[in-house]
Amino acid sequence: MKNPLKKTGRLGIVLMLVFGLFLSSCKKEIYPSLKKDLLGYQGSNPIVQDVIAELKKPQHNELLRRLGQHGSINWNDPKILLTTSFPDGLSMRFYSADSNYFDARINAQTKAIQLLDRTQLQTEAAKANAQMQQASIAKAKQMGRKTTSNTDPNWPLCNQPGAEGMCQQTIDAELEIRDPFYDLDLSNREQVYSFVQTKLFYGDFFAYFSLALRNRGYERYVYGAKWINRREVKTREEIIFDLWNAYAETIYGWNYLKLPQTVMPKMKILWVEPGSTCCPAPQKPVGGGGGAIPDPLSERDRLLVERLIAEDDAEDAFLATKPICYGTGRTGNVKFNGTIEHWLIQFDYVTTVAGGVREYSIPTAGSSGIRAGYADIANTITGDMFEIKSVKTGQGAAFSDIVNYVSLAGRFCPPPSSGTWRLGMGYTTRYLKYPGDLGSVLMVWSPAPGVVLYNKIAASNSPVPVPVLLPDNLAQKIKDFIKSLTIAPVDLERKITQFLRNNPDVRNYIKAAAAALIIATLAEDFLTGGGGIFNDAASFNLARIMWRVASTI
Amino acid sequence: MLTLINDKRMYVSLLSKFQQMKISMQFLECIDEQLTRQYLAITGCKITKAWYGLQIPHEHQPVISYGETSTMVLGLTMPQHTLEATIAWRSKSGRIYRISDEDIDCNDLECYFMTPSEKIMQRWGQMPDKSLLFWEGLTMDFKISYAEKDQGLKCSAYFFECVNRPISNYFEKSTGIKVDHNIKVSQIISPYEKGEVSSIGLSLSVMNFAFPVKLCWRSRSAAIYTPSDEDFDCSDVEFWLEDLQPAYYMKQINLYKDTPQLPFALKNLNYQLTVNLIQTDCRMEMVLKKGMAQREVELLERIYSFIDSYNDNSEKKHRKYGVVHNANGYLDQNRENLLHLEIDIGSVGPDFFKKLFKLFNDMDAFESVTVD
Repeated sequence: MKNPLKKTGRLGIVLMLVFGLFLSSCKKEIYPSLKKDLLGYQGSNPIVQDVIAELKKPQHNELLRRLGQHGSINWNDPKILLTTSFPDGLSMRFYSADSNYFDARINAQTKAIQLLDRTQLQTEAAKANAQMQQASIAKAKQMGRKTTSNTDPNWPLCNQPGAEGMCQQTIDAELEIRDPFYDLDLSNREQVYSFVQTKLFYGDFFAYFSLALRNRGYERYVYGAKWINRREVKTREEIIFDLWNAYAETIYGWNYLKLPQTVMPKMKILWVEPGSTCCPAPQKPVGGGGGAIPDPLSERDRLLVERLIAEDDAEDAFLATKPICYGTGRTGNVKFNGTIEHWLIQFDYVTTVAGGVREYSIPTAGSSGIRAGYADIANTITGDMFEIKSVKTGQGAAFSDIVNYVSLAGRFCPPPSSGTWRLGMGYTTRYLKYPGDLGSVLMVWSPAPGVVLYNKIAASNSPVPVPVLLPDNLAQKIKDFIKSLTIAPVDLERKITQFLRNNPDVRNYIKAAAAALIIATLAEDFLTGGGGIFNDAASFNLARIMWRVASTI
Repeated sequence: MLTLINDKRMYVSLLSKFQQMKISMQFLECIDEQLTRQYLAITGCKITKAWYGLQIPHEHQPVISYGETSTMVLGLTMPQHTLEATIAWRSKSGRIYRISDEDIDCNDLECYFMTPSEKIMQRWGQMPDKSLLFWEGLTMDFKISYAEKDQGLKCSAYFFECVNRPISNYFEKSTGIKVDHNIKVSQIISPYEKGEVSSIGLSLSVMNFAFPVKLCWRSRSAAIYTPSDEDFDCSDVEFWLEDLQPAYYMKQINLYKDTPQLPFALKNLNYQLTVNLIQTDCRMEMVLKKGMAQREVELLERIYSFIDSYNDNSEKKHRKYGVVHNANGYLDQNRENLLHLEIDIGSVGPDFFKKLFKLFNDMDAFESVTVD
C-alpha cells in the first residue's frame, strides 16, 4: 500500500517548486523590463558600456530599482566631473528623466567602477561637510589663541587705504595666562560698549548675538548663537548675562573668551517680575512713581520698550565704532524701481534665516577697488552671501559681484561662525505678495550659488497659493497709525507697542503672517497713492520694529 | 585695456581655495596675452567688462590633460553667451608645461583656442544688443540650461540664434513697443508642441513682470524642426509670437512713469539730461564730447572716487544717506563716444543723483546723459 503521506509530501515539494518558479518568474518579469528601459543604450562609448555592465550586476539591483523610480537614464550626455570627493579618477554623472542622477566613479588606475545614486552622494557630502565644519571650528578656536599675519604676496590689497591691519590678527599672548576680562562689569556700557541681538527666529527660540567688550585696554568681539525664549521680556543686562553664562553652550561661538566657571562677572539686575525667585534684591525701574503722569504701558511693556531702545542704541553705538564689515537695517528710496523688491527679499531673509543681515560692507570691493562694496545679503552664521538682481539685469552681473564680495570678505571681514564666507547656498524659491498689484506675485529664486533673482509673475501663474495682504480693515488701522507717526516720528517703540496692545487683532494677524507681508502691506499704501511715509529711509526700520514688537508681546 | 583674464590674482586664489589646484601667475600671463590677441582678432569685439573672458567652472575642477598638446576646459563668457572653451598649449622646445609651472618662457609656449570654432566665436561676437532673446543679463547658455534642468526641454543655442532676430522684429511690429533692456525673454518654458506648426513657451519679462507668450514656427520645406536642432538653414523657418498683450506691457512700462523720479530740478546743466527711469540697477548712457573718449579711464576714476566719498560721508552718519553698492563703466562696443555706466544704487536716494548730476556738470565731458 502506498503511503499517502509520502504522496502528499511529494506533492508539497512539487507545489513548492512551482511556487518558487512562479516567484522567480515574477522577479524576472519585473526586472527585465525595468532593466531594458533603464539600460537601453545605443551608443559606442566604451566607458558608458562598462558602467551599464557594472549596473547589471546583481549587487546593484537595489540601486537599479531606485533609479527605476526616476524613469529612464540619459546615457548619451553624461557630465564629466573631476572632484575632490573622488580624487582617484573621474566621475560620470548620468541624469534621469526627472533630472535626478547617479554617479559612476571610475578609478583611473584600477578601472574599478563605483556607483552611487543621488541620495548616497548627498549623504556622503553631508558627512564631508560635517567633518570640514568640525575642522573649521577647531581651527577657528586654535587661531583665536595665536598671532597670525597674512603674508600672501598675492594680496597686496591688505595695504590699501581703509584696510590697514586687516590682514593681521594678533591675540595678545597674555590671554594665554591671564584673562583680562575676569572682572568685566556686564552692566557697564563703557565696558560692554556694543550689544547687538541680531535676529530672533525659528519660532520662539533662537537668537544670534554679538558683544563688543573693552576692559583693561583690551578689546574683543564675541559672537554667539543661543536658544532663548523670546517671549520672556528681559533687560539688556539680563540677556547679556544669560549669554555670558551660557557661552559654552552656544552653537557656533568661539570660546576664546570663556571665563573660568568660578568667576562670576558683576551683574546688576534692574528689575524682575514680582514673585520671581530668579534673582535677589530686585529694584524697581526708575520713573513711574510720585506725581508722574501715568504711562499707559504696563510695566512689562515698558521693559520691552526699554529693551528695544537699548538694542537700537547698541546698534547705533556699534555702527559708530565703524567696524570694517557690517550690515544694517536701513534702506533706500521706494520710489525707485526695484527697491520694494529688494526690501521684500531682504526683509523676508533677515527675519526668517538665522544670522541674516542686509547691505554688508566689504572693504575694497567697491567700484574703485579702494573703498567698500556692499553685498545685498550676508549671513554671519553660515557665511552665505547673496546678490539680488532683477531677472532682466540677470545672473551674469550678480555672479561677478558676489564672487568678488566673497573673495574679499574672506580676506578682510571677521569670519562667520561657520568659519568661511561662501557663495550663498540653500536659498529656497519663494513667492512673496507683491504690494500695489493684486494680480502679481514676486517670484524669488537662486539660479546659481550666491545669486538671487526676482521676477513678478501673474498670481494666476503661481504654482503655490498666493499669500494675501492684511485684511483691509486691519491694514487701514496700520496705515492710519503710521501716518500719525509721520507727524511726530519719535518714541516709535513705545507708540508701536501701545498701538499693538490696543489692537490685538492687528497684533495677532502680524504674528501669524509671513514677515515680508508687513513690508508689503505698508508699501501698498505708497504704491496705491495713499501715503508718503515711505519716502524716508526710516520706513524699513519702522516695519522691523513693528515685527519685533508684535512677535514679542 | 581689459583682457580675457583680468584679475589673475583672483584666479590663483579661487583655484587654490575652492578647487585645491595651483596655477601660476606666469602661466596665466602667458596664455592671457596670446588668447586675448586671438580673441580680439577673431571676434572683432572689445572686452568691455571685467567679468567677460575665461572663467573657472565653479561646480568642479577644470578638466586638464597634459601631453604634447595640453588642454584645459574653461568657460568663455561673451556678452550674451558663455561657451565651453578648450584652451590648448604646446611648446616649441618639446617641454610639457604644467599650469603650476613658474619658470615659463612665453616665447616657447604657444596657446590657442581648440574650441569653440572661430565661426561660433564670430557669431556670438556679433549678436544684436537690443533684441528679445540675447542680452548679457541672462546669457543664452543659462536659459538653455534652465530649460533643460527645470522644464525638461532640450534646446540648442543655434535654434534660438535663428529665432532671435525674427521675433524681435515681430514683437516691435505687433505691439508698437521698441525692444530695449527692459523687455526681454527670460526663460524658455513648457509646453513644447511638435507638429506642422510647432510651438514652445517663452517667459517675456517687461519691467520685471513675467508674461507667458507662445513662440511658434513652421518651415517652408515642410521639414519639422525641434528646439534642439542645430545647423539647419534658418531661412527655411518662419517664426512668430502668439498671446501678446500690448496693453498690459504698456501698463508695466508706465507704472513708474506716473511718479516723479527725482524731486528736484537742475538748471543750466552743460549737458542734456534725460531721466526716464531710476532703478536699483541703474543704467546710464552718456554721449561724450569730442576728444573725451580717450579720457575714459580718467572720467570713470573721477566718478568712482565721487561714489567712494559719498559712501564715506554717509558711513560717518550711520549710512544716513544710504550707500551705493557698486558701479561699473565702459565704452560702447560700436560707438566710441558712448560711455555706459551701471550703478547698483543700493540704498541711496534722490540726493545722490542730485550730486552726481552736478559732478557730471563739473566734469564738462558729456553731450548728454540718459538714465533708463
